Amino acid sequence: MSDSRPVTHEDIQALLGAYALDAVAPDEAELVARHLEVCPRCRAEVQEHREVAGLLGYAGQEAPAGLWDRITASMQEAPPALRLQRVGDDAFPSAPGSEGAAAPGRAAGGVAARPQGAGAGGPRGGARYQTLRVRALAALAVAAAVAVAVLGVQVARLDHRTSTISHEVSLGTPSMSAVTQALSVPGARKVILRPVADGQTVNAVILPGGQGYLYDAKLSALPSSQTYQLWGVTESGTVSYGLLGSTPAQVVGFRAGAGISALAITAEVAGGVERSTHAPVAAGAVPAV
Amino acid sequence: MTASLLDASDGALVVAIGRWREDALAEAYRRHAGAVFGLARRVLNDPTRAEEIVQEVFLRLWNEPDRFDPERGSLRSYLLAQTHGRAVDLLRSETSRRDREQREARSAAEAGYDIEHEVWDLAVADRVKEALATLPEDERQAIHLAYFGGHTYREVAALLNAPEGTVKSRIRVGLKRMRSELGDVGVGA
Repeated sequence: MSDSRPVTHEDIQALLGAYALDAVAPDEAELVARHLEVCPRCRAEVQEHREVAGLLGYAGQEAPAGLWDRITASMQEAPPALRLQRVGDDAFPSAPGSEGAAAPGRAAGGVAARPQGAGAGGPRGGARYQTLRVRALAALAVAAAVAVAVLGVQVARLDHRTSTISHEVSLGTPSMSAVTQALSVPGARKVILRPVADGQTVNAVILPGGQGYLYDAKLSALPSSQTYQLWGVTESGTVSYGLLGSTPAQVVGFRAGAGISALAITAEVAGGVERSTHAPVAAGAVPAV
Repeated sequence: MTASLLDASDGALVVAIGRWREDALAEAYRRHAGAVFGLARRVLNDPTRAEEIVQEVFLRLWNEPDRFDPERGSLRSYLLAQTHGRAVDLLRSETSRRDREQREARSAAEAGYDIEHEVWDLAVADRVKEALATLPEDERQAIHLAYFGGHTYREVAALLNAPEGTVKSRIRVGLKRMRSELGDVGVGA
């Protein structure tokens, strides 16, 4: 698109094959992507090209043995600073791979037979509360793993890391109009904190400068001896972003640090804690900038 | 893993993943990880980075299952499109000029190579092979260099010493030709 004449539908169509193969320049990719938003026909064509590419791309290979274990390990083992262990619970699950969980990828290969081993690759153990814990771990660990992949930052086990403590900070309660305004700011990142066990999702928006708002925070009321606490998972550790109280306001302001990759909310003893030992009640990944 | 998961459609699996069913993610992995790994490795020519992409793609599916829309195509083509985009990003952002030149030389040297070998082990391999055989060599080359070489169509044009518009067209026409040859062969498991 280097010349100055207007871009026609035909110009876009001519790019669709190359676009589907990621073989266009960034400005062209953006142009096509914008067009696809409004043109179902071109969208369908790109999808067809991708289906064909998918057939070409499949070399009948299996994923390397052990890769699934590494994926689950990163889901279960690397919750950044929050040690998402229930109080009174025993240790973390034993080291990944030591239980000999079968890799589900072994049967990869088109129509190859499905493995008979029920539960292969599934969550280890069956106790319900462990499953809940696994979900909790996964929620943050996934976000962290994505951050590691994207940023190339090693997130070490944080037991040994001093997190920046600001748990005594009480958070402001801005109005919903501040949220509406924030959502319209270019570059604002929307975060959906999913409930880990049950309950409703909590939404958040983070402005490019770091100002953030939790909204639709319909968290069930805690006893007055407890408080909800907001956490940010960042490059340099998991940091308390402040206390939400036992009955959080509908809209809560906070300040997000640089390199934030996930938000989490835990229920803690009133006054908050420096480092949580509880599973989060909700957690969500922050999209990369 | 429950029998219902083994029989579940990809769409149903993704719904279960949205409910934090790790066994559903395991089943999606079983069905598609080989394809994801194979493509990433083919493009990057680096098994270690290919494994990183497999992890990234499946963790992303776990974290953001809503991004997959079953009405817009199969789970496999969705995962492979993500894989390809990510692999190409890595290639374009990290490859030094010198490596790039070497790779281009290698790609050019391989440009006459048939891509049939890429699909030998698929259940539909024969049909894909037949479809490939119907493509003129220049269309096959263009698709090969763009998809497996990670080149833009402009780079492909330079490599093949052909006009850019011609290369764009060869890629699109070749893919369409493949599509009509393949008829109802699906990409999904």
